Amino acid sequence: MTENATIALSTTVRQSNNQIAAELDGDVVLMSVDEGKFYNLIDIASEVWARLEHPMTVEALCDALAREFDASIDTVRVDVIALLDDLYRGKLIEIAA
Amino acid sequence: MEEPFFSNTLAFSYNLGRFQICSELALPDLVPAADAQICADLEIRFGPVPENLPAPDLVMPACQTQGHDSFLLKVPGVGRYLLTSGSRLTIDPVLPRQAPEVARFFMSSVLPAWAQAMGLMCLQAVSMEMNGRAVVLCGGPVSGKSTLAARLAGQGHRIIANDPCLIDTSPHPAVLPTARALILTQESLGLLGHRVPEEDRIGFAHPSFRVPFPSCTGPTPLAMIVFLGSGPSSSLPASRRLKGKDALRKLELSQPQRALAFKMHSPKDKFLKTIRLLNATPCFEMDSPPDTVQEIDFTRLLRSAENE
Repeated sequence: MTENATIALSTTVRQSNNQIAAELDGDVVLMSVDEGKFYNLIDIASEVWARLEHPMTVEALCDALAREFDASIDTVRVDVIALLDDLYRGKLIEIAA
Repeated sequence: MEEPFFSNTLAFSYNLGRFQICSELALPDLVPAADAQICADLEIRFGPVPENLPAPDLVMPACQTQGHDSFLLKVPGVGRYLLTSGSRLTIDPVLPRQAPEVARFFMSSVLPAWAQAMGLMCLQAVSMEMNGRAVVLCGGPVSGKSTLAARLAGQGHRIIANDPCLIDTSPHPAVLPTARALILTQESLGLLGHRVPEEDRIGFAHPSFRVPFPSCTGPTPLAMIVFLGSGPSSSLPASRRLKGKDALRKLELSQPQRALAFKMHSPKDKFLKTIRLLNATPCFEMDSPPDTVQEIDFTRLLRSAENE
């Protein structure tokens, strides 16, 4: 199974221990400790990141975001899963057991 | 039996912000201390240095590390430098002890690694004092930062640091004094209209010259960081404010990327210090080095940052 295929609506995800996050000029900046790479999260991506401090299913995450931002649930799901795929490939989030 | 280290036998004592260095090696770019402490933060002695560390966890052709506080640096034709326990440096020179290269490689390679192990930030940059605060000029080898610094020095501004530029972020970012001279190429000296001091020549393949200037003697609060681009320009140098990830990327590129420096500084600690520095310090990018210093109004740059 590829890494892209592991994030689904039923998947429970959370922030990994392989990252360190800090606020810089109002955005969230993440560093992958193992790889030394930087990631910049802006706008709603920062909100997604904050909610993943505790384990959460992707479906529950998307529902909450769609309600809060009054957005189409389908659009939110596509965008959030794409973001989570990126974060997972960067080892910044992990799949909770 | 291990040879004892006694601070009171060391000939030279230097202040580096809140740190003190006692040394058998003269370090002309550091600020002499008025009185030596019994326990220095770094003691430098001459003595035998082994070819290898007993249990290295990183081995490269020029350096080895063991833990976060010990390393061995081998500089062909100059000597070996062994740091143990983060505070004892032994130098085994190939050259005569007083050869300038022995001190120069300490300043360029050993001091940055030790400083990072002590929690300081290290930039490949020049820093000048302007109105009592430090302006840090970052840029690659041909970006013109030393020439710009020399022009500023010619206008009466004091130099603070010249690669390495050490920044203590605690409690507030301040640049530590590590330079009492600038290293200038023959071309830079020509542009500045300086006489080439042949006796101060260092290096032969690409000759450069150590030119002393008035310098700061204590930590100087950091005012701003300017990243200089490279390449000639016929127009006035444009400057723009850098924020967020753009400033972070530039600052990362200005820090030593060598494995030795990476090993001596926890990535998490380094990241948090970098973020703290950027949140406290306005950063600018300048398209090209200026032909004349008068064209850069640093005071206006700083005022514009403070007004945002």
